[in-house]
Amino acid sequence: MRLRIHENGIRTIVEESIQKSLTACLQCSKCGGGCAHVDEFDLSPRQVIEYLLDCLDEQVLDSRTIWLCGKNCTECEVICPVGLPLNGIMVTLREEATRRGVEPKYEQPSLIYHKFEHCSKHRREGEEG
Amino acid sequence: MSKKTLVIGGGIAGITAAQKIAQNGGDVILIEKEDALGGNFAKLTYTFPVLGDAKALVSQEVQKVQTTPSIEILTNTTLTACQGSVGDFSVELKTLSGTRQEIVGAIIVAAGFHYMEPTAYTEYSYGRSPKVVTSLEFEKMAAENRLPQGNVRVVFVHCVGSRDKAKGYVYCSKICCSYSAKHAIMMKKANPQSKSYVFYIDIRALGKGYEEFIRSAMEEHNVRYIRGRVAKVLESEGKLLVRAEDSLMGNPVEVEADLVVLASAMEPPVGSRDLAAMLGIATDEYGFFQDVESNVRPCHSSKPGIFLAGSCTQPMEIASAVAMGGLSASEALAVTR
Repeated sequence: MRLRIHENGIRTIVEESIQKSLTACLQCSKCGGGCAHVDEFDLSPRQVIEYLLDCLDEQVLDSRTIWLCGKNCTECEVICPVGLPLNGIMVTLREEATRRGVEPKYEQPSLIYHKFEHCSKHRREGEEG
Repeated sequence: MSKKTLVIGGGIAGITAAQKIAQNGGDVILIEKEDALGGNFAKLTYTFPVLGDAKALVSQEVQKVQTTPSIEILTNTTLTACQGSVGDFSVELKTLSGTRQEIVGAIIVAAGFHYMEPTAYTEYSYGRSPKVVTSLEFEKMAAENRLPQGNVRVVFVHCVGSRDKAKGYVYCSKICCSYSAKHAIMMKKANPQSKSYVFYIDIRALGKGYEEFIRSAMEEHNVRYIRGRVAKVLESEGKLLVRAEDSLMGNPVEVEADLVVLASAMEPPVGSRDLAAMLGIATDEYGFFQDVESNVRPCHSSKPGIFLAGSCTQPMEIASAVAMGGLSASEALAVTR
C-alpha cells in the first residue's frame, strides 16, 4: 500500500502543543536505543515521530507506545540530540486518543506502569495532564 | 610596509602557507605553540582515502620549511599582542627565551582544531572505562601497536558531539565518517581476526575517492555498518555492551565489544576567541574564525591583512587545509609585495 502523505494529520495538534516542528527529528534512533522499556513498545519514540510525519495517525493512536512511554521517565527526552520534548508529545497523543475514544492499551504493562496507573498518589507524581 | 608575513600555527595549513610564500619570494615567521611542527596531522598514523603514511608525509613537509632560509620557525611561541593595520602590523611574540617585537605586513591564522573531549557523554562510559577511547586515542594505540589482539569486537561510534544540539555542536564534523572507516580498516589489517562495527546516522563521504573508500571497508574488510546512534555503552565483567536501535529494522540491538571508539567532534582550537580578540577579528558562534564571505573569500578574516587557513575556520580534511594554506599565502603575498 502506498501512503498518501499530507500535512493535516494529528501532527499539527502535536506541533501546536510542543511549539516545535516534528521535522526537527534527526531519525538518529538514540531514543529507542537507550530506552529501558523498549521491549514493551511496538513503536520506538522516533518511529512515533516518523509515523506522525507520514500521517499514519491511526497506527500511532492504536500503538502501545503512547500509553507506556514518557510516564515518570525522561531517558529519551534527556538524550535527544535535537531536544524534542518526547514526554510532551506522548501526553498530547494520549489526550488525542482519549478524545477520540481509543481504549488505552496495556497488554503487558511493567510493574512500574501498573503502579503509576493504579495508585492515585503516584499517578499525580508521575504524570501531569 | 613590511614584506614579512606572520603565520600562526605550524600544522599542515600553516606549513603550506609558509612554503608557498617562501617559494614566491616572501619572508615568513612561522610560530607554533607546541615544541614541534606538524599539528594534528602529526598525531595520525594513516591518511584517507588512500592509506598513506601520515608521519612520513608530514615530516617531509616539515623538513621543507625547516630547510627554507626565508622561513624563520619559532616553536614554543605564542602571540601576545597585535597592533596596526594591513602592511604594518606590530606584533609581540612570547618565546621560551623572552618576548620579541616584530613588524609584519600580513598575518595568516592557521591555528588548527581540537578534538572534543567527550566527557559530557557519561552514557558512553568515556573516562570510566579504559576500553572506551576517542578516535585520537585509537590513532595513538595504532601507532604504538597497542590495538587489541585475538578474536575481538570493536565498535566505532559516529557523531559524538557532532550533530548534537543537546550535548555538543549542531554542525557535522565532516571527516569522522571517513576516518572511522579508516580506523575500521586499520583494525582489520592490524588484527584480521577482529570484527568491526560502525554505528552511523548518515554516511557523509564528500570527497574524491571517499565513497569508494567507505564501500571498500564494507565490501573488502567486512565492516558491518548499522544505522542508529549509539545510546549507551555499559561495562560489565570486563566487556562492553553497546546499545542502540537498528533504525532500518526498528529493533533495539546490542553488541558485546572489547573496544569502543568514539568519533569525537572537531571543535575550535583552545583559546580561539582570545586570539581573535587580540587580532581584532571575528569568530562564529562556536569560536571558529569567521570568514567575510564563505564562497569567494573563504580565507579573508574580518580585518584586512589578516587571513585564515585550515581547520581553525571549520572542520575540514587535510586536502582542504592544504588548499586553503595556498590560497591564504597568495593573499598575503598580494599585500606584502
